[in-house]
Amino acid sequence: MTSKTLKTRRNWSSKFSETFQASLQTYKKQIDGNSRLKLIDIFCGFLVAVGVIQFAFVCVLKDNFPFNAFLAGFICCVGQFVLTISLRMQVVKSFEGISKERAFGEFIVASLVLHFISLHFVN
Amino acid sequence: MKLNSAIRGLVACLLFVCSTCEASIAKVSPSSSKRTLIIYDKKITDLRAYSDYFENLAQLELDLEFVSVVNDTKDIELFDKGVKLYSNVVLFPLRSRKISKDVTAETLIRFSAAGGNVLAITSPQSSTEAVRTYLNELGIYPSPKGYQLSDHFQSRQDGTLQLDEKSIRSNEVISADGNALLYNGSAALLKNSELLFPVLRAPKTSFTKSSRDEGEWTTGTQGFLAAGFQSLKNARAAWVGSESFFSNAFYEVNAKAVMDITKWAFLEKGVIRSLGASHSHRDGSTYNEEPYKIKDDIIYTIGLSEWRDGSWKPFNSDDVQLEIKMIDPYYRVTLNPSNATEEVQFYTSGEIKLPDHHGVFSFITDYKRNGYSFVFEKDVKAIRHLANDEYPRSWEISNSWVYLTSIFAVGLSWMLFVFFYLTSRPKSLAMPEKKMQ
Repeated sequence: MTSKTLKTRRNWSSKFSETFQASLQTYKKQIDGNSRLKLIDIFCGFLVAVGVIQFAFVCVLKDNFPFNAFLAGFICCVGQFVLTISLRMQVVKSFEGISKERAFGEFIVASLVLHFISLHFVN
Repeated sequence: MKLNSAIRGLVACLLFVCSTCEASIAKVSPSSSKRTLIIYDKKITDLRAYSDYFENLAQLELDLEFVSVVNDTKDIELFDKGVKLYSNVVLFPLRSRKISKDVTAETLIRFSAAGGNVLAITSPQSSTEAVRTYLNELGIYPSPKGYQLSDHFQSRQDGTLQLDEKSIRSNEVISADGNALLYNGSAALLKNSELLFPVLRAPKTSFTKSSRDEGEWTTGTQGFLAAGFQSLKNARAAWVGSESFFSNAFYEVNAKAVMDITKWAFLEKGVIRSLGASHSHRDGSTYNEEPYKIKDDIIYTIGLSEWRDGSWKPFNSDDVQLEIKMIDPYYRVTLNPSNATEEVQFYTSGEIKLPDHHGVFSFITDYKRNGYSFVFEKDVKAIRHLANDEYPRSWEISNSWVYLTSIFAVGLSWMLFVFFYLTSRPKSLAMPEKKMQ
């Protein structure tokens, strides 16, 4: 291994860790003292975990019966995740002409519709 | 317990049905009438040489009529204005060109098609074209005139052969008793046909040859000495290639085989019939009370009896099958013997699940075996699919508990989220926004 390649590799890895550190710093700064953002991120993490558990269950069983129930459960997680991320984007920076309060109201209505549909789809 | 009593109920019902018709059918013979015509040729056949055979025939309560083709003023007719006159016809070897003006090969075929039974006997001396054409139609190709079956390993001076048990190819027609049969005559080739089956086969070392040295008609086991034919309407025809097989000279040895072949041909042996097939839900309720839907448990039953020695007896077999069929058989189930009465053996499928497929299905028992009359029972019934409220709810399926739990988990955690979101005090977000840019 020549010193040149070693150098570029070190260069590359240090660059990556630099970038990663920078992003982490920015993220920490963003949520620092902002309990709402923290709350949203924790909730998102939970949704991802529940979705992954269901998918793993199907993989381990090698059987997706009853498929409608799986779809309802999985899509409920994904949908809730998407809605929550949309809320987060508006909490960080409001969309033009839409106040944060209105955004939260829309989030609640959309979530209720999602839960209603999921429960009916699971039969 | 419930199931047991249901089956018992079904059986009792069946028993009742057969006991009510028992009195009327117990003694009814499968052959409709006993009128039998024996056509022979005075010139080559002396009926006195077959007296033992005719005596035995009389014991079958057959109504015998003899008619000779030569020098007989009486015209032979099998039909009167299109109605069949006889139920059985015996054809002894004939040397005349025709049987009669009215009886041709076509008439014989028409007679067979109308349900008439034919016992055709040929011999190396017989040469009637009509009989030969008729036999060819059935797939039997007897050797031409002058061909004689011989076997240098065992032929006597007069060409008589001994047929051991290996020659008997159909136990349904001739039940072997270990005694050798005596045979002096010709052999035939048989066509591959599902309706035709060999009864007697030529010995391994035999051959059929003309005295004029024209080559062999059959060699070894490719030749057959007797064959049976049964049409899809259960009309029968039997062929034997030897006249002397029936004669008094051989009768002491051949009596049983001769009578077996005759009885078989005249529907006195190997006749089975079905007492109707039935099927129901496993709790005994019929299709009419509750139509079948997919994956229902049902029980199929069929009763078979056999005409043997002058009365109906239970027919025992281990290869009766039920087919549940929609174009293709979805199921082909071998039925098990259940209960039997004095006349009928019942077969049941036990509990079977209907196919997981809706549509119009046929419940068929198609029992076609060489030597037995054909039984075909078919019932067409629709199997419906599940109505939308007949599927199991998700909570009845344990797999879906995982998905249900996760939906409720999402809902519950969402409520907590909303609660905490509203109670938390947001700080100014101006600073991170700036940073992000």
